[in-house]
Order: sequence, then C-alpha cells, then structure tokens
Amino acid sequence: MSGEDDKQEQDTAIARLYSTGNDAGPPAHLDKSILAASRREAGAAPRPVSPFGGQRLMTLSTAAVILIAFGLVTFMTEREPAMLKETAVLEDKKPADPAEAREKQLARKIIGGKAEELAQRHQREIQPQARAPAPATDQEIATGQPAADRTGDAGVGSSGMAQPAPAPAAPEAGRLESQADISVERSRDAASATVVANGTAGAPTKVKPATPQDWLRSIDKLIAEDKLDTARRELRALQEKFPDFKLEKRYKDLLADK
Amino acid sequence: VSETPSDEDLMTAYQAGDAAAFEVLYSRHRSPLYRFILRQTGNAGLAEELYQDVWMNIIRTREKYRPIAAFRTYLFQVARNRIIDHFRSSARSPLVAMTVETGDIQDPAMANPETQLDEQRLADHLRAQVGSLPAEQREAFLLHHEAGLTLAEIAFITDTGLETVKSRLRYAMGKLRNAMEGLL
Repeated sequence: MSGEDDKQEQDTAIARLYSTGNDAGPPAHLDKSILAASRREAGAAPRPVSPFGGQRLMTLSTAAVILIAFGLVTFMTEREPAMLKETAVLEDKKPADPAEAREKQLARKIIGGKAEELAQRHQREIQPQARAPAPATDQEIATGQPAADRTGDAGVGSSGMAQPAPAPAAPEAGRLESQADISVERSRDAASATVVANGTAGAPTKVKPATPQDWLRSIDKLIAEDKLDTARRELRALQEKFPDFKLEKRYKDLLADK
Repeated sequence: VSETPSDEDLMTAYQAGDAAAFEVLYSRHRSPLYRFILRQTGNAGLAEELYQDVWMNIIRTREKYRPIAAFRTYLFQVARNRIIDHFRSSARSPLVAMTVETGDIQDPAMANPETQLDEQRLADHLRAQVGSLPAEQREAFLLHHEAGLTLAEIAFITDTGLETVKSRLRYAMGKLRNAMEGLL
C-alpha cells in the first residue's frame, strides 16, 4: 500500500511541477491576427444563426415527407373501391342467377375475354325470359314473337311488373343453365358467336314448360286470372306438343266453349 | 449574481455575429492550446503556424459547431487533427520532431548532479521528459494535464477506449516518475 501511496504522491508532485512556470502562450501578433480575423468574419457576414440551424430544415423536410405520405395513403384508401370497380368489373357484377354465374365462369375458363363479352350479351338477351318465364306456345316460338308482346295477358301481375310463374321455375332454371352452356360452347366459334340460346340471333325465344303437368299449372293460373283465350291457346299448344296426353274434362270443356 | 457564460454560450453568440464573445472564448483557451501544440510539435515556429490554422478553422467553420459537446473538446479535437495532418503530409513523426527540439534542453541532472536545482529548472526538465514520451502516451498526458480534459473526453477525441487512455496515462506517469527519481 505504501508503494501505491508513494506513486500517488509522486504523480501529484509531477503534475504540480509540470504546471510550474508553464505559462507559455502564443505571440501577441498571433493573437491580434486571429482576433482581427474573427471580427472580420463576424462583421462581414452577420449571419443570424437560428437556434436549430440545419435541424429546422431537417424537421421541415421530415414533416413534409410525412404529410405527403399521409396524403397519398388517404387518397389511395378513398380511391380503392373505385379502382377495384374499374379493374375488376366482372367481379363486381356478380350475377344473382346461378345459371348466369356458371355461364360467366365457363366463359372465363374457356375463351377468356371474348367469351365473356359474348356471354354478357347473351345474358342480356335471356334476362327477360328469366324474369318472366311464362309458358309459350310453339306457334309463338315459330313466329318469333317477343315476350313483351305477350305480357299484356300473361306473366304480369297487378303492378304491371313481370312476375315469375312459380310452378315452372325449377325446370326453367335447368333449361336456362343448359342454354347458357350451349351459348358458351357456341361462343368458342367466333363465326357463330351471334347465334345464342335457341340459335336465333337477336330474337328471344319463348320458354315452354318441360312437362304437360307444368304446362297445365300455368294454364290453371291463366284460368284463375280469367285469361281464358290465352288459356285455350296454351291448351291447344299443349295438345299439339303432347298429342297422347289426355286432358281432363274441364280443359276439354274450356276448349269446347270457344 | 453574474453568471459567467459557458464556452458553448460564447460560441453560439459568436455564431450569431457577436465578435466580443469570441474574444472571451479565445482568451480562455489561447495558452493551453498553444502549449499543447508546442509540446506536441516541439517546434515554436511550427506550433505558431498550426495554432493559427486551428483558430482560423474554428472561425471559418463556426456554423458547423453544435453545442452538443464541450467547446474545449471540440477545439482540441480540431487541433489534434491539424497536427496529425501536418505530420502525415510531411511524413514525419511527432515523436521525431519532439526529440530534435528537446535535444537542445540540457538535462540538469546530467549536467551537474550535485547542483541543487531550483523548481523552474526541474519543471523544464520534466517537460523535456514529457517530450520524449512515446507519441500516444505524450498525447494522453498533454490532453489531460495541459488541456484539462477528462479521460472520457480524451477517449472521445483520440477515438480509443477509456481503458486504453488510462493505460497510456499510467505508462506515461511511470516513465516520468523514473525520469524524475531522486529529483522530486
């Protein structure tokens, strides 16, 4: 310990001795020269230095970047739904009808955009039929009379809007679906692209019930609505379509009334 | 109670164009800085040149100074860099320069061992011994005893660890004790 104390004592003595007479300084001419330069610099350019200096500029830049980024994010967030609509029109137009959905899906799978376009066109054409699937006669089909012509006495409710017939709805859907498939298949050939559904371009076809029973249900409805002429027409069409089908007496009476 | 403005306040005032603030600052540090450069270079002419360069650098680049570090640390860092640059460009070691300069100083003990040396001559002898220290030890010694920097500040300026600074100072003091043995 005494050795350490001696060292400490010697170090103190050395430090004290070192500072003894250690008053050397720069020559006076250097002092004058340096101070003159300092005054010159301070006077020549009295630049007011802000408390932050460059830091203020940095802070402003950072704030600007944050502001722009926030603005962009906000803009994109607001714009996103519109952009989605623009970029994914097909997804937005989700069809309520399963037949339409399947048709679109098939169209996309098979031939892409062209088929999609054709399918959409076809869908527009068959849309009224899906909404008013009233039974029609073969005569009507043959004459190509549009459904709108018949809405005066069939498939129109009290409000004047098209009403779907309840009974033939299920087979109707099946037919529509098969027609849709057909249209997609046909749309593979660009040449026959205009021929859709029943092969009649631009002329929507009448949809008939698949079975005599369904047909009769529709006829019953017409009778109930006192649309007897139409009911008779439908009955005749049914007899022509299904000659072996035996009509009940009341239907025969209706036909005989005329 | 009038508070003495700190070095940092003075430098900030000078940055704002207050020339009087710089004069106060200059008067505080002129002697320690000059001696530090003189002891490091061992040449009065060179020391004056470098000393002027250092202050002119401080004046010209005053806007770069930020009061996050002590002004004294900043000043001696600028001085150290200027000394290193000088010896690097002249391809000379500060140690060599020092040896040449201190060669003129007569070792009092060797000249006449039996003479009772007065304190001033002892101090001169000690400073000559400081000049003969290895460069890194001398630098640490001068920054501590001449500039009055703390060990942490020395570590910062020399870009070394605190333990390294302690070690350099310990070696320096050991050599000076040996050199001054029997004289203190």
